[in-house]
Amino acid sequence: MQIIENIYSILRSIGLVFMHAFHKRETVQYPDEKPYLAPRWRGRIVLTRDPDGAERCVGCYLCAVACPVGCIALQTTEDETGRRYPEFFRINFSRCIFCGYCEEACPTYAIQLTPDFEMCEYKRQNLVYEKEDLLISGPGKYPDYNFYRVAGLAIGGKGKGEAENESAPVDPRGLLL
Amino acid sequence: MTVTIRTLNELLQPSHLPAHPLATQEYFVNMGPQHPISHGSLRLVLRLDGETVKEVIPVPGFVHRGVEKMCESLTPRQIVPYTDRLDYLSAFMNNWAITRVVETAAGIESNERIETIRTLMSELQRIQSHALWWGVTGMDLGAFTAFLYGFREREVISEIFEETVGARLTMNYIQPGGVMYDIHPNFVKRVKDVMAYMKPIIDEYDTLLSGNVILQERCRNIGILSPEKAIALGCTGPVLRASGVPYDLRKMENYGVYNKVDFNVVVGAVGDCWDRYYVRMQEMRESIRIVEQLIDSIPEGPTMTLRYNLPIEMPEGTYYSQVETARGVFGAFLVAEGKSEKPYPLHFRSPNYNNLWSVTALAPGWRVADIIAILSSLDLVIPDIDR
Repeated sequence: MQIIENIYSILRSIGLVFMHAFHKRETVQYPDEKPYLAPRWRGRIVLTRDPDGAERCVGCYLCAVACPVGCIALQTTEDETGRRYPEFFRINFSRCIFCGYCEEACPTYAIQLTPDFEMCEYKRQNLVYEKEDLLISGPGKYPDYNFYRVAGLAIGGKGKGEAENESAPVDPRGLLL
Repeated sequence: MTVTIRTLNELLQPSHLPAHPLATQEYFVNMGPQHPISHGSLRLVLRLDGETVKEVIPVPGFVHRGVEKMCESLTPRQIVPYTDRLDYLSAFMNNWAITRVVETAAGIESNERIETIRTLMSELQRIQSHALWWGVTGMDLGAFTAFLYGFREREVISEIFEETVGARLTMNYIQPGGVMYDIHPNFVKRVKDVMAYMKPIIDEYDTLLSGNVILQERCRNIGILSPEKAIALGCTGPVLRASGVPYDLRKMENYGVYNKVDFNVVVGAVGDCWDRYYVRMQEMRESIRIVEQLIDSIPEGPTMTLRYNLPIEMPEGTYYSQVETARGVFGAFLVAEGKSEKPYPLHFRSPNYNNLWSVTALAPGWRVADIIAILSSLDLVIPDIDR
């Protein structure tokens, strides 16, 4: 009796596998058929621009400090109107672990992680992305945000008190006298 | 139990030389570091007498990265992504272990919502990890179909994680003070769908593999680990529970919201490979029960109680916290100096390391083919052993 049970248990397994021949296919034909990646996917890092087309990054170094592996290098400089921007911005993707801390630390939504993982290279050096490789032309996940439009800092084209939700500057001496 | 420390060279000497030219001799066979059973890079030196295993000498360390040393130069928040890479199949629980020790040290309070999300994610990952283990065990024992089926269910749960966390393997989600992102609006619905889908799937697993006579023959009464030996070797998780010791930190440590849910600690009776197999199958069912009890009542509240980019101040002292991962007790031991937020030193107690050494007690007397069943029933993740 035992042997019949044993043969049945094997036939049952084979039968189950056979029935799966009529199920929906689970296979994704990957290079031809791209998988869906969630918008929160932590993939290739980009530097975004604000809606006016200017660089969002103000070179505060917070991303470089937050990075657990130290793969971000940048140097800040200022243009003649007082607007800060990175002179160079370099991410070594052979070190990056895609933890998302840089995106979280960024106060101006400049650095963002995108749903893209296809960035293999034959040479390690090619994984070092410079600023021109990282900068994209759009605003990324936050289409309407413009840091300088809400910040009180005076830069070219925007004086003191001209930002959103900001009142005109007050002359404290005028109040005293 | 006494422990004698011998070097590898001393271990690799045959125990006796043949007296007669026609006498048989013991010999050594390397299983690994590149062997399908090692699931990574693990070297096992087998001392064999014919086909019978006399002794197993595990030689770990092929993927040693010095994580603990690296963590000494990192802030508590920066340590969290490193713990993902230890036991990568229970990344949420590893995150939770380091989070708990930092929260204990710094006195950070978390709220009900955070704890519920952490518990949910951990239990989902336990199901995922056991599903993958089931598939891999099937493949180790010659059933390749099981491997594909296990990955099919892993994929379904991975998609939930992908939507909320943004990653599929290296989660970096549970942080000191909360969780990294709030749950996705689709999360509750998708988890319910997947749980409804998983229940018949585990029955299908039973039909395909558990009841199959080949698996039964290869697992039943093979590699029996007695409860005394399991405790002496420091085994935890399903390996210990299969030996009949109802030791589960989810019940004993009282962390997360495990005290609010109703679930059973699954224990085995014999402690053989079959019990270790079936304990995990039942644990998947228990985890589904936990998820179903929690998913409808996720409380409202903030998901992060700590401000980013501020140092986490830990007063001087030593701290230890542990959680139950899919493989056993993962603990983090942290010494805070008080001057800086960086720990010195930090040590992880990984479940796989102790579970690996149980093979030295399990293997002697069995054949080489049984070592495969024994090792795959231990469910080892090599980067967690080597750290």
